[in-house]
Amino acid sequence: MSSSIGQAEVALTAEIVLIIALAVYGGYRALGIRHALFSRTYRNQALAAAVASLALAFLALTNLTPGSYSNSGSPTGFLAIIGPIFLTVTYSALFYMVDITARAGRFSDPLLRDTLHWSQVRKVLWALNILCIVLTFVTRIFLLLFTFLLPIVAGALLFPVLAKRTGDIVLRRHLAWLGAFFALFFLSVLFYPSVATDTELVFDGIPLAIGALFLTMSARSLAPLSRISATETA
Amino acid sequence: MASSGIPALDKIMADGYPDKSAVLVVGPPGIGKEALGYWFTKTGLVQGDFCLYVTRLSVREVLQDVKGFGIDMDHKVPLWLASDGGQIKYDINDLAGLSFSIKEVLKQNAGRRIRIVTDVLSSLLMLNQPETIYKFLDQLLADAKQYDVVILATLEEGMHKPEVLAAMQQLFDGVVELRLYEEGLRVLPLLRIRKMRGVPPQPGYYSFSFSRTGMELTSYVK
Repeated sequence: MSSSIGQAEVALTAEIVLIIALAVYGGYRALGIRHALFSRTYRNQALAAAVASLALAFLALTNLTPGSYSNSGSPTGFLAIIGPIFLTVTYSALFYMVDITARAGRFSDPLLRDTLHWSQVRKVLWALNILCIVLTFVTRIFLLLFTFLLPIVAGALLFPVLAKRTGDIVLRRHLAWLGAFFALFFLSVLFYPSVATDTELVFDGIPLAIGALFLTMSARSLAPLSRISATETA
Repeated sequence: MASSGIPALDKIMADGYPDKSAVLVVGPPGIGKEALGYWFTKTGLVQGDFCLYVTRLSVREVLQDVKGFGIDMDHKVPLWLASDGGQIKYDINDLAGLSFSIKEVLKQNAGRRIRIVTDVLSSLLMLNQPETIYKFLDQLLADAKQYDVVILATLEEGMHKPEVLAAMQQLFDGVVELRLYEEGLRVLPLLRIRKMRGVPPQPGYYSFSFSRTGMELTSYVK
């Protein structure tokens, strides 16, 4: 019994390390691309990818730590206090990512269409999001029902339309990776176990780990990157 | 020669863009292609040249971007041919109207040095058959060069097939290429002059960055 618990802990630790490594790498690449860009919208898009990656790393660290849940499935200790804050930061970072991607998508649409009237809708959604973040301190229901679902639903509605309208092959690739990440992230939270033993957390972490890989790929595909040979610079 | 407004760039192009020329700036979104157009326009306005800015965006959006690069264009502004807020309305579906408007402006300012900056090429190429745009552009550039004009056009990398990009580069007298290069885990913005009329071929790359006073260029060695 103790052996199986030990194995679950080792597996969970390995999973956390993997997610954090992927997320940190993705965040680093996004910041590297941001540093090389000069237009505000695209710099913000790269920043959003970096923030989302790092938020995911913290989320994995805080929510998948072995022994962080009681037998009833309630978070304990450190996680009970800081867990909702990291969840809020992560969900808001994801919404920021959707928001800024919608703006970048508009610029790459030859007809400059304002997809789903996003320039107006975003103001209302941000206001509601901030309100729900405040209400999270009263009850977590707002966090789960609105702050979490907001980026997922907005992304699900916007990304296919943006991908269809954009003429930018690179943005289309970025949207595909980002969409795949959102889908896995959604599944990961949706099937979060009510009674979280370490073994259950290992299984819950699998879609999150694959999602972290997709998020990293989306960060890497923010801009077309070329390699230069030594002879070209001679 | 028409100064690009960026001393470091003028230096590697023998004092600026050639007279009566059309120069294409190619690069991915966000890398700063438009900034070359902003500096080119600002310098032209300061020197008393007539400047026409043809944009698919609204004037407000362009001016916001101009400010983002730390360029002050509050006192002197170009003539705007824009989708919104300009003196002349730009309709992306009206190629003939676009050509007519530009030629009218050229006629009205004959005898002056004219600078034209535009960001509409990628949109036009995406909404029309490339062959239609080649013909349209070939004719427009030929007509424009009857005047003392320098045209700077930006084109998005990643939005067009390589053969379309290659064909577009053939139509222009000069091509400035901006790209993002991976060097290990680092990402570098590099510039190179692919071709420029009157300037010997330059194989070298330059790493670049923007500041409030323009663009800093440093010769790049891997």
